[in-house]
Amino acid sequence: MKKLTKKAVQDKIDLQALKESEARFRSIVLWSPDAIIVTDAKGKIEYMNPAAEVVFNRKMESFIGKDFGLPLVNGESTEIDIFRPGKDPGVGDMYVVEAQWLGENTHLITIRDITMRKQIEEKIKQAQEALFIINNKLEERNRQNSLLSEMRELLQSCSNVQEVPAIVISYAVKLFPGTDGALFLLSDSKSDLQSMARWGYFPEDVDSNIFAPDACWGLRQGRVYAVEDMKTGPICPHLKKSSSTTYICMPLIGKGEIIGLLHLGTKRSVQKDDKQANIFELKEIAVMFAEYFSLSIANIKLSEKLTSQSVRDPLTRLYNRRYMDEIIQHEILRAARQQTGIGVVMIDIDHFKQINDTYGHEAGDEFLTRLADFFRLQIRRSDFIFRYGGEEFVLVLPESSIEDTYKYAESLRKEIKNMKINFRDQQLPSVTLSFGIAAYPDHGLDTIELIRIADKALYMAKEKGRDRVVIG
Amino acid sequence: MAVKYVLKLYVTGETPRSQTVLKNLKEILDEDYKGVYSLKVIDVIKQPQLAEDDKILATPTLIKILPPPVARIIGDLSDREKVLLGLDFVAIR
Repeated sequence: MKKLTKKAVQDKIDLQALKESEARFRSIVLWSPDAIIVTDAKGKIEYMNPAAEVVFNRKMESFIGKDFGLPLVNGESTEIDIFRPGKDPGVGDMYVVEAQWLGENTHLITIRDITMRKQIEEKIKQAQEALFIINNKLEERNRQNSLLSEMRELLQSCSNVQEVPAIVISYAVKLFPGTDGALFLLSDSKSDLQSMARWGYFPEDVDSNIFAPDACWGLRQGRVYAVEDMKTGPICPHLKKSSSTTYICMPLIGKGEIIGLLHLGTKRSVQKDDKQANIFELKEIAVMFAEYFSLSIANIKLSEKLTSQSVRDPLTRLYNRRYMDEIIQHEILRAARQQTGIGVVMIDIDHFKQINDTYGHEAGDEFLTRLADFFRLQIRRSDFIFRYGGEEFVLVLPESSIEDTYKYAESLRKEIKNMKINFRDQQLPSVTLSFGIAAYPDHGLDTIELIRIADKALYMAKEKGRDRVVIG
Repeated sequence: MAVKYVLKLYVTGETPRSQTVLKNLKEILDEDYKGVYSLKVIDVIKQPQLAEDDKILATPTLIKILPPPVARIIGDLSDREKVLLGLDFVAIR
């Protein structure tokens, strides 16, 4: 009895241990957050834990004995899509082992719901892609900025407006790829715009390249005019021949005034293709382009003006003495090459002081201005007339002999007597001129020598009683 | 040639996973079974009722309807041998 009791106690303890052990393992399966499915060797479902019901959103009873499918993996995991009727599909990480269960070959399948993790991963991926796009845009912006500053530097080193178009075209093509465009400048009279640079397929006909300012909505309004679809938007009259479907017209403003126009057009593609120029994305860069260009063109024009001022006498607008040296030097080199002569004539107004004294300096200035006009009218296109100083002028006649020069000076001496000059309703007395001639190569081989001889001859003409031509 | 093999492939959406499994399957079938199989691809998002009727729990799931017996495998179908074995194709060949 005692022995038996002992055995019974032992059995009881063993059973208790077994129960406890089973309860432990059962609770692991029952409380596991991962779906656990046991299938037979062919993939038929033998068991599903409560988590599987949650993951698949279905009742266990209806699936026991049904075909889950033969998992093609063993001892490794694979990603699957979870189908749950009435709910969004999920993503699961499926782990499969072949195992003995209740004495038969089975598949022990564990599925972890990783839908949330996948969603977060997808969001991270999207954020990274967005970042990549922003990065590309930044790089593109950097490229545009360095092109813009290159263009600005080149424009700044232009010495005249004629050098500008080539620069504008080469940078417009790089900055506005895929566009058909043109850059127009307003004429000095402000009556029309003329294209100074064209790129892409911008039409070449006259009407597209020269037009009145009011033919452009952008110029009329004094701000950017953009048309997204040329079928619907009011189109600037100056763009009748354009083959673009979308465009912008951007007035160029320099020192507060309209100085020209930047036009960009393109064919809008039906599909959203990054390679296709999007004018509206280019707008910002076009604004900078227009600003740099306007500033540069104003500077170039200013420096052109300064240069011309330094070679011209401000009163008579004739070339000055400094420029005369340059020209004679240049003509001497040419004459030496071509074996021709140059006539240099120094001209002085006789008794000019009397005009100044009698009618005042303003009358004297008027007289000098009119005399300059007279010279400009009389001389040939190839000749040069300079204001040497005071009432002295120098005439340079390339490809002329002493005889030619003398004859020409004589004709001027006679012609000047017919010139009538009025100043404040008063007719100024007619004047006479004295001429001193020197000729290359007869009198000298350089500017200084030629001027010295001509000056001496002029002195002789004065000595001999003025109103005459003397050869040095 | 008459169709001897009738298959149904369940996928979820037009995702990279769906495209991969379809590509894998076509490669397997076109190699030895060209012209003698018919494959119906079903997207559970577009046709959930079909998936419910077939008691689909997860995709990609491939079901062989003909020849009998009906067999069902689950996974990315990247292992040719396992796919043929799972579908009982080997025995038929």
